[in-house]
Amino acid sequence: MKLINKYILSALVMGVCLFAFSSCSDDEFTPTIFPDESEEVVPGSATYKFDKWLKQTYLDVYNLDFRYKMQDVGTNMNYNLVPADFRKAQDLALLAEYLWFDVYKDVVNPEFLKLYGPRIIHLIGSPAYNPSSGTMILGLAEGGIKVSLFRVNELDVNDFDQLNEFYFKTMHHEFSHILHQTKTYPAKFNTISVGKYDGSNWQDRQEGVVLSCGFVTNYASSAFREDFAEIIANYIVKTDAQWERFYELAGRGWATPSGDDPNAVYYCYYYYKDNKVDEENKQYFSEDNNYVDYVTPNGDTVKVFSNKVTSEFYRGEAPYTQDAENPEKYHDAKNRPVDESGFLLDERGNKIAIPVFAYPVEDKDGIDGVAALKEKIQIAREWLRDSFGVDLDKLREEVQKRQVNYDIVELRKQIDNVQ
Amino acid sequence: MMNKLYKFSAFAALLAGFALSSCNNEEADIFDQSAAHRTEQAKQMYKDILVDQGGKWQMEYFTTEEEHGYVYLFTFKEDGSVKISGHNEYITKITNIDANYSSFGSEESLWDVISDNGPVLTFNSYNKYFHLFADPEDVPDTEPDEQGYGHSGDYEFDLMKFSNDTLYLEGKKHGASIIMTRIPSTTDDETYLNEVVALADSFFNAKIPAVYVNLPGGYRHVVLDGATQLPKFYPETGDYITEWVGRNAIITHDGFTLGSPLTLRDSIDGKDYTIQHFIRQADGSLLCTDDGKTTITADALSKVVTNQALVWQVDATQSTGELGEAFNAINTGTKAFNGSSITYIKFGAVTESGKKYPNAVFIRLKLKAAGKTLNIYQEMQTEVISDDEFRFVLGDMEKNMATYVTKVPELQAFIEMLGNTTFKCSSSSLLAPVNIRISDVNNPSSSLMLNLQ
Repeated sequence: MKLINKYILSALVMGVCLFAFSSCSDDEFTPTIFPDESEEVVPGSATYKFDKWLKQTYLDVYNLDFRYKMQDVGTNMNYNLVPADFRKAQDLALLAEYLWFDVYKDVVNPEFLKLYGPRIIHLIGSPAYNPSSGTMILGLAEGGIKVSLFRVNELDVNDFDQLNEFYFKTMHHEFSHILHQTKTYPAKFNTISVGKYDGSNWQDRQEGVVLSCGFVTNYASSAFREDFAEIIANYIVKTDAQWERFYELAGRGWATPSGDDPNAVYYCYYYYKDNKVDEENKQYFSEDNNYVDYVTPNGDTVKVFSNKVTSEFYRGEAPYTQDAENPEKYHDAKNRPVDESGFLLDERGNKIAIPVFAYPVEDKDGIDGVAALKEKIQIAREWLRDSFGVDLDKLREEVQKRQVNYDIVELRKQIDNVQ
Repeated sequence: MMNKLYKFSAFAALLAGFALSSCNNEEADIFDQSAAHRTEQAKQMYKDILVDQGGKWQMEYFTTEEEHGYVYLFTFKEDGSVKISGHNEYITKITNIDANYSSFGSEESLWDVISDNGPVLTFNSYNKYFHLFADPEDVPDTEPDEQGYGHSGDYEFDLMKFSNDTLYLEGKKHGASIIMTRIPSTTDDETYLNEVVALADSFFNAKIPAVYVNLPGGYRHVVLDGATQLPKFYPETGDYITEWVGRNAIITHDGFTLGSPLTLRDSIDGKDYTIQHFIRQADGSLLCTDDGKTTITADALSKVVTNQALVWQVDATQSTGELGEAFNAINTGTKAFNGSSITYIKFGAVTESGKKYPNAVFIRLKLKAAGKTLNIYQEMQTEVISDDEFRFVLGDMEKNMATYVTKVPELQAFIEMLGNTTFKCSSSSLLAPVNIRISDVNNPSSSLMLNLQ
């Protein structure tokens, strides 16, 4: 009985439980309660032409929702943001097509951005400021799906440098994120400038200092992945002249009189007051136009600080001889005019002051900045080629060609004449 | 054992009952349609409301409690565009950084009603005259550093209610309560907003030292800084330092509204009165529409005109009757006496060329000799008789004044008229009485117009 009771009880409890759980399993899906909210291009609306152009250019071709109307639910509510200006949104959409989508279409293949391109581009009028750190966000790539472009209201189609810095570079930067979120880049990249990243104070670092460590921008020095996106974006959009300057700065050493303070001002040249070599007399500077060549009376070319001279003068080489015909004139052993004390004279008969010599700061950061930059570009080049079949140099060549040859008035006709 | 079996059975039955009830997902339909469909209907309803009757609205726009409100006009169009017009000092800074006045600005942008937790009115493309309060960019040459913060203004609004051509909204991000009122579609934005700015000057004039909330029981609370639209209130017999309470406010085309309700105690009838909305009345005072009784006015006109902190100048062209004629005759008399002419005549404690004079009838004369002036005065006090009546009590006569009175009979006659007349005060605005007419109570057509300096 005891045993039977136990069986009965167990069966009863199990039966109830089975019923309880199974009875909930026959729910059926009902039709969605949400109305069809597909964004239709509405004839007669104020945005009709642009909406139609966006549909034809982005949605139909790339399955990309180009959102130019602000949706704050699509943003981080911790930031104070405003919508994009309608006219500027149109210009940016045109330029994004011309300088981004069409480049990949022509250089790689028409399918590339259909496969890897973002599914949403969201334009936001203002930057996303972080007042506590003094930084601002210009772009975001989220989950390989969505690219947010900020600061659209500052767009000036006539200022190419500004366009490049704040928009085109941001587009390629964020797309690089999408690509590496799809196929990761070689871990070797992260070792090149290892130990030089600074996630919290990157915004205070100077351009020359970070270049010397192999970072193309100070933002690149904030994290590995930002470094990777920045090197690709800058390689694509920056001109040869700009890259020459990067390499020039990257090859220098940088120092600050205030020790290792990362927020201090760093310099790449120094001199000693009156050429008196002493730490107390050491003066730093960074202006290239103050680091000038000087040819000494002996014919040597040396680097000096601006036009500054010491209170010392160059002496001639003994023995000195007096001119027999003109006893007021003297010459040194090399037959150069000197005064009666043996100081060399210039063509006006004045003593030649010894200039203040200048020196480059020794590069002590342990990284060859130029080599590091080139190695990073090479890794990105090979990764794009092997992972995606993208020729980075051809991409750059095409962007460089297009970014100096766009005609915004002509581009706007695409929207004005949309059919 | 059986007892245990019963207990177990009871437990199992309870479990089964629970299981059965937990699966009861069939509820009676409270609404005919799904929540999403009802939201869609609400969206369309609000869109229709916004574009109806020409689609023109006035918004009482607030940002934070530390900033006064701003009047904006919206003209909603069915094509999704909206014209937004404003008139304030920040609009000025966009176009003229050096200017410190309020100016008009108007621009078209986009609008929509979208779904969130409910219908939301969004201005989803940038309008430089409206989004400036949300924009995190710094507005140059203004006191707060806006960079990163803006003014905490919203441009997306939860649509809460529509009633009597009034939309009640709440800023979606920062939560300010905002009202939109339909206005005639024929309204010219710039004219309307110019009138609002002019009203702001007429409501609270910084020259008037204090105005009062007059509660129904008779007690008054002092209102300070009304002209800034960030008024401070404290009981008239109370202590400003410890008892003041502030509100942000907005001056609209029709009146004056506090950003949030304010409850004031009437120490005479012992009741609390909550005030927020005021409309302008014909006499220039503000009437509280929340209780229909409370008003905001300056002090009684007789007290304003006799306030020794204020100085009034006689406007000869607006003065009438015997007093006006007597006043205008003085100039003829002084010219006949020594060729001098009157530059102005003022009442009150005048400060001239850095010198403070006593409370007096003060006359500044331009002498015949080029570039020479003379100040003469007749000291006097004032006696308030009622809220709108007072008289002058003549005092000592300054020595040059005594000479002129002797030599210029017109001046003597005018001074005597002042001393012998009881005056009745009137003004076009009981709230900002910067122009007060004082008339002879026995001869109302005889008056002097006094303009507050």
